[in-house]
Amino acid sequence: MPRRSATHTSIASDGRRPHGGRPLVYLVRQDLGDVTAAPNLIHLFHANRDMILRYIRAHGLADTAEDLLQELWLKVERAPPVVEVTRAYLMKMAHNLIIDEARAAKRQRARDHTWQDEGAGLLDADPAPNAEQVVMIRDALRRTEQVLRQLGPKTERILRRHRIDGVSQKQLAVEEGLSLSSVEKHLQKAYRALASMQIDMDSVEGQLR
Amino acid sequence: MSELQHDNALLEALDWVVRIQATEFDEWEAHAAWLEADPANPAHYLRASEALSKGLSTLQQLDRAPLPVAANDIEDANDTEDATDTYKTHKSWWAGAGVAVAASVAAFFVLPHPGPEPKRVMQTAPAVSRNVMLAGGTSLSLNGDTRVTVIGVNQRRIIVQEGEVFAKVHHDAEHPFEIVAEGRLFRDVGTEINVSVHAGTTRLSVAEGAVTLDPQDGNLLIDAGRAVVIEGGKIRFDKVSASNVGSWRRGRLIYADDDLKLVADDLTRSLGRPVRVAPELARTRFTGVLTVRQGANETVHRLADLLGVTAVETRSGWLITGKPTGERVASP
Repeated sequence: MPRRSATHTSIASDGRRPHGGRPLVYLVRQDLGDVTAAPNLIHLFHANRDMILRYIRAHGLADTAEDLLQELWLKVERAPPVVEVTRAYLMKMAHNLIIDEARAAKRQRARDHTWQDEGAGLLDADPAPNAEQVVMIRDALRRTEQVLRQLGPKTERILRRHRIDGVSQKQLAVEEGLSLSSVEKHLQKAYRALASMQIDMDSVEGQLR
Repeated sequence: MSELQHDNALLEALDWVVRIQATEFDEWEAHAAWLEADPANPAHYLRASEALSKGLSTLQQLDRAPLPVAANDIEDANDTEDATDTYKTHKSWWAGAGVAVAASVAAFFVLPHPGPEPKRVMQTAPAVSRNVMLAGGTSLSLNGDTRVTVIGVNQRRIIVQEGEVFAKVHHDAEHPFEIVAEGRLFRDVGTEINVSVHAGTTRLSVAEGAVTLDPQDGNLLIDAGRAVVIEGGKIRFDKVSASNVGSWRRGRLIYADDDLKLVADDLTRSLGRPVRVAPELARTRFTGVLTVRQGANETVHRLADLLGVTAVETRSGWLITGKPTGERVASP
C-alpha cells in the first residue's frame, strides 16, 4: 500500500542514499504522481530527476550530486507558485545551484592551497585590495567603458537598462521597438564582450604573478 | 595576446555561458554532452561563467562611480563637533560585491579637496563582512553588523560605533592612524589591530606593532600579543595570541578562557541572528575554536557541545542554556 502522506522523511525506495545516510526526502513525493494537475515544479522535478543528476555530474560534481539534488528539491518545494513553469526553468534553477556550488568548491580549494603555502597565515588571508589591485580595478572600470563604447549605443543602452535599472526584456522590447529576440541578441552580444574582456584581464593578471 | 583566440575550448565555454543566459534556452542535453566530452570542459565553463559575473559586477559599479569624474563619490557631511552624532548611511556604497567596494576605494585617489573634514559611514549587514582600503594604504576588514565612520580626506582616523574591525595600518609617523571607540582614542605605532565595540565594552587586540591608548592623558602602551578591555571606567589588560587576532576574517573564532557572553556576541555578529546566553551560564568561560563557515546552526550546536550545554533554536536565533556537564557530573 503506497504511502500518501507527504510528511515522512525516511524513505529510500531506490535503495540509494547520499553520503552520511541522509534519507532521500523527496522520494516521498512520488506518491503524488497520480494527481492530475498542470505540470508544476514538483512534477517536473520527478520527471527530470535523471537528467538533473546527469547534468550535475557533467559539471564534474559527481561526489556531491545527490546532495545537490536534495538541495534543488528543497528549493523546488519552497518555490513560490509560478504560472508558467517549464523544464527550462527547472533546469536553469539546477544550473544556477551547480554554478554556485562549483564556485564555492573552487574558492575552498584556493583557500586550502593558500593555507598550505603560507602556513597558519591568518593575517594574510582575505586581505583588502592593495594598491596594485586598486590600479587593476580602475583599469577594469576603464576597459568596461571602452567595451560599452565598442558595442554601440543601442546595445549599451539595452545592457544598462536591463542589468543596472532592472528593466525586463519585455519592457525593453516595447521601449526600443524591437522584438524580444532582438533584445536578447543585443544582451548576448554584450555578455560575450564583457566576459571576453574579463578573461583577457584575468590571463594577463595570471601572467604577472 | 588574447588567450581566448588560442583556446577553442574556452571560446566554446563562453558560447555556452552566453546562450544559457537566454530566457528560452532549453538545450540542456546538448550542454551536458559538451561538458561530458572533455574532462577539462567543466572548468572552462566555470571560468567563463565567473568572467561574465565579474564583468557584470564591474558594469554595475560603473554606474555608481562614473569615470573619470569621481569627486561626487565622497560627500561633505555636515561636520559637527560630536563625531558620534547621527550619520548619513551610504547604503549604495556597500551594495556591490568586493569589486564594487574596491572600486569606490579607487575613487578616493582622484578626489579634489572637498572642504572641511569629510566623513564617510561604512556599515555592514549582519553576517556580511567587507574589506576596504583607505587612502594611504591602510586596510580595514569590517565584520558583520559593524558601523565605522572614516574621518578626513587623508582617512587617518576612524570611529568604530558598533561591531568589529580589523585594521592593517600603514604607518606614517607624520600622520598617525587613530581609532576612536566609545570616546577613547587609540593611536597606532605601526600596527595590525582588531577592535570590537559592543554593549558598552570596547576590546582592542594587537597582532603586530603597538598602540597607545589615550595618548594625551594616560598614554598606555599596548603591544603585540596584548589586548585591552574597556568597560566604562574600568580598564583591564589581557594576553592574546598575536596570530589569532582578527581570525574571524577567516571564519574562525578563537577563544582562550573568554566570557561566554563575548562568544555569543561574536556569533551574533558573524551569523546574523542573535545568540543569547541564559542567566545560569552568565559566568561560564569558553576555550576553543569555532568555525562559522560550517553553517550557523552547526556552529551554535558545536559551541553547546563543547560546553556540555544545550542550544535551543528560538524564533529569532538561539538560546544557550543548561548547566555545564561538569556540574551535572558532580551532582549525585
